[in-house]
Amino acid sequence: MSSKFNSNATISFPDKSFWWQKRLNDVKSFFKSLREHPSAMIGGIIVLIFILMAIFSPFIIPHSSTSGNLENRLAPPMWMEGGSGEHILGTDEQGIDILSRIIHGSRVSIVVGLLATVTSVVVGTTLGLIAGYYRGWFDNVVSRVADIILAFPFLIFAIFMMAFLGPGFMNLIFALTFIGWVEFFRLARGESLVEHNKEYVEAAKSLGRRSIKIMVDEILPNIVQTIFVLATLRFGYMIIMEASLSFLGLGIQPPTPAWGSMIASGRDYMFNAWWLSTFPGLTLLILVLSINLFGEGLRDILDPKMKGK
Amino acid sequence: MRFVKIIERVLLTIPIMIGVALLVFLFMRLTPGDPVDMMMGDAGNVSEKEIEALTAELNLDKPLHVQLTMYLSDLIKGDLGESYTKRKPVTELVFETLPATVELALAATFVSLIIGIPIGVISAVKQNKLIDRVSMGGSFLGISMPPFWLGIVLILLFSVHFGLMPVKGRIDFGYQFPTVTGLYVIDSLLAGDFEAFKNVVKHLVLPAVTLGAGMGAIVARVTRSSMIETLRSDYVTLARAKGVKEWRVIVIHALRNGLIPVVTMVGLEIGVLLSGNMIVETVFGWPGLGRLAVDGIFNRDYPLVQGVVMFYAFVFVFANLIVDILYTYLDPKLKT
Amino acid sequence: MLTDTPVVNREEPILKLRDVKKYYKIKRSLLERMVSPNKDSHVYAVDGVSFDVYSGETLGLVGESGCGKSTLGRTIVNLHGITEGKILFKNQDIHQMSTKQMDEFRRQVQIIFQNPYASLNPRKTVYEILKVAVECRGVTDKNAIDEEIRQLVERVGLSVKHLDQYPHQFSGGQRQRIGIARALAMKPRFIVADEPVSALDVSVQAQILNLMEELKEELNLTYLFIAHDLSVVYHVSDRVAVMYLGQVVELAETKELFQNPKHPYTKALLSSIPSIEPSHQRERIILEGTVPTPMEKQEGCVFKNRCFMKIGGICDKVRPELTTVNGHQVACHLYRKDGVNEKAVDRHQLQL
Repeated sequence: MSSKFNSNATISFPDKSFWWQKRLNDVKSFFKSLREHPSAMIGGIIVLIFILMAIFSPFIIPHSSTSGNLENRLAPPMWMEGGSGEHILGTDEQGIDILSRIIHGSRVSIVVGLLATVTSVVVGTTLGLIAGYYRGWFDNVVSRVADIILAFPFLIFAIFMMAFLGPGFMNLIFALTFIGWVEFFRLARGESLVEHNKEYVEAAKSLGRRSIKIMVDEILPNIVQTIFVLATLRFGYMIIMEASLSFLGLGIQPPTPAWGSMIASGRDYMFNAWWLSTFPGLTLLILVLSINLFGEGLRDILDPKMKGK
Repeated sequence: MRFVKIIERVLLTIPIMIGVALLVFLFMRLTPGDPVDMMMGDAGNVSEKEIEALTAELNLDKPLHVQLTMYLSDLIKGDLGESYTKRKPVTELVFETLPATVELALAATFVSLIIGIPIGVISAVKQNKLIDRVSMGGSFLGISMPPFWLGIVLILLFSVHFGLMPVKGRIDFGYQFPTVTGLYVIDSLLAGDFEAFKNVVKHLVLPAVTLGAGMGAIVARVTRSSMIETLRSDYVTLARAKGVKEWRVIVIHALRNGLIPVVTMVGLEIGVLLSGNMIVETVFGWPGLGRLAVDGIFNRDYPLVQGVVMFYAFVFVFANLIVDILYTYLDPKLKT
Repeated sequence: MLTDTPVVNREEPILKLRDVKKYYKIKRSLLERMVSPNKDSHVYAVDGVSFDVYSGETLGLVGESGCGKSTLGRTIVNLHGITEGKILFKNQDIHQMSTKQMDEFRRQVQIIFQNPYASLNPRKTVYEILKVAVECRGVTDKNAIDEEIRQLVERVGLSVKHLDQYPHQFSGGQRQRIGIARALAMKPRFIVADEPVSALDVSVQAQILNLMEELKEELNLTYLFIAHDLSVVYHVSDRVAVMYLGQVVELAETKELFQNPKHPYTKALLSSIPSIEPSHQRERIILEGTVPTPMEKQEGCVFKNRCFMKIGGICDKVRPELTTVNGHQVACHLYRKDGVNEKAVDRHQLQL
């Protein structure tokens, strides 16, 4: 039997690299459809540039981002009278180069936004899958906790938590995750409930697959795209949340450059140096806009049923 | 059936509010650091006696479960505690600042609707034309806009550069009129003081636009998609077939149903409005609830912060309740 | 088909159901529970079903949609628990099995689903779907798995080139073949086929039925064939059980049942089959009323309010037992253990 099988050269069975082959094909077809969404493509490219900027910021900043020359404080951007090519976007009240601070500040935004989103996704999806699969008391308890957290407007609860936890990187991630997981929980739970009632899950059960395997290997691949789309859109939201908290002085503390705190400190110089607040905010807007453009495109491509919602 | 659903929905808010109170309480008590130390933090030399007095005042010397019962029974009575810095009941402070916040929120909602609905309708009618693309691009910008930065840019442009608008506050010194509603726009009109009214409106425009921009963007998108759907429906086609003029079809026939999702959406965005309030009030020095809370945070006035947050949560839960009830009446699909 | 084939072992049933009940509690809100705490309502999906399935036979299970036949099928493969009663597979209570015994049970008892669009995971290729199934049987060697998958796809009429395709790339019939291959991967003895062809085009139905027939003979399988289409059941079954509102009302050899139905419901059901030959045109019995909701516990006979041969008070009060009458098992007060309840039938005919 097996010799007959081996002699047939045209039959090739998928081997170990098969999984990767499949993912590669997924990625290929994804980029193909991305080309039909130029705005999403542009958004994605800009986000990528920001991420690279955050990674390599120590090497590309033209000046120090934490110390400056006090004699050259509040220097205007290069195209204005009194500006120089030395400081393209001018300097702040301590004479620190604004462009350098903005570039360096992308780290806080990207890292906090990304980490807070990822932890929210992991916590929310895990709990949601389990709750939707088993239902029962676990679902009841977690859903009620979710209801309570949703009783607070997001930012207000974040502000409240940060006021008590005190500013700081880990606290920031904790506070944003504490609120952020709820949406992913609700989404994953709802989808898991729907998938659970489909016959392919019953088929897996009748094969004797273990529940954990059914959740991870059967249900999760069917809901992962929807979750990914929401995660992309929430990534931008998390970045705005971080900037808002830093703006209020509750997030990342100076001298670490963060866009939110740069905008806040620029308010004191509104009348004579408008560029202090304007440029960090503009950068923030461009990043969030790009993320949202990318997320919307992603939604159209991956999840046509959610279109227009 | 619908009545039972509504009763159930109302009853459901009770455990949620209890949960909210518990969560706030736990956060107050379980966060690292002694609240007394934190509140006295910057004061320098504080005597033992003062610390003891404050500890007793905040009931921190009693066991946790006693603290919790006292806290909950106070809440039921509507007592949110006493502000440590202002030496006043938090409830009183909340109701002093509430009219300013309500005025700003109403103005922002108004702005978002008068911007969002026409844009949404035009986009729907001219679907996929240039004007649609431009307005949808604009609404995308509005959604991505960090509100605190938008506020600063507006101040830079209209106050600093053009000098058209005041930089901060609710009204300039020197205007006086009796307080009736607490909303200055209405009060100044009631008093017949037109100069004061102009001053009040000038102060209100920038914060309202800042707060309303994001919501206006969402209103535009929701209106557009809902109008597109409505304009395709049979009864609209019928109206057209009868020879009703196109603008009448849009305004009289389609808009009435097309706006139902907008109503719900506005209700659901109240949370965003409240959150944004905290930021926008800080930017514009607006003497409302949000400012009160942010000031409380920087003065380490924890009873004040916790009281205001409880109040916010209460308003939010209540608003969601109203929206849900309204929805059962508005949505014909739910009629059973 | 209609005569006993030697493979059917009438001595020892492979599966025994004893008074199986499956009630679903209807979820009620907190408020409703507070207002009337004792009024829990249930859906009586399966309400006291007993029958045996013999090794090597095909037992057809027919009934209108909502009569509980699919629920019964799912309880037999232990996808749903039961409220009361016993399900014995090879004389072993399936609800008393250890994890290891349950794994063995899962290997021997498989299910084919009605909807070939929902029963295959849309994110898995055929290869992955079958690989999981073969692995679940305990095969770990990759070459052995591949060899088995090849045999499986070819046995159900597909080819190796289909392996890296996704379910949405197939037609309904092909998908059902994949579903059958997945069940076969476990090398089962007993297969519950839950309306396996009702979602397919008529032209495809015959192919799938033939495939199932071939597999049965080749692998000596036993089928519980659930369907609402009587002509399909007639062609595949050795015996047929008729279900109404959660209960089996009649069970007999296929030919016997179709030629000589005893239960009024069966009579009505069979009269609705259109016959091609005009001479065989039966008088059609139109049932009055609708199927009562399964949310009410039925007292007496389940068919009483639609029955055109109702005797009287006994039908309202006493639930008829499933008793053997001339080779039929039938649950109706018209018949007694010793034969026809002559008096009842006479009276009924007088009324007519």
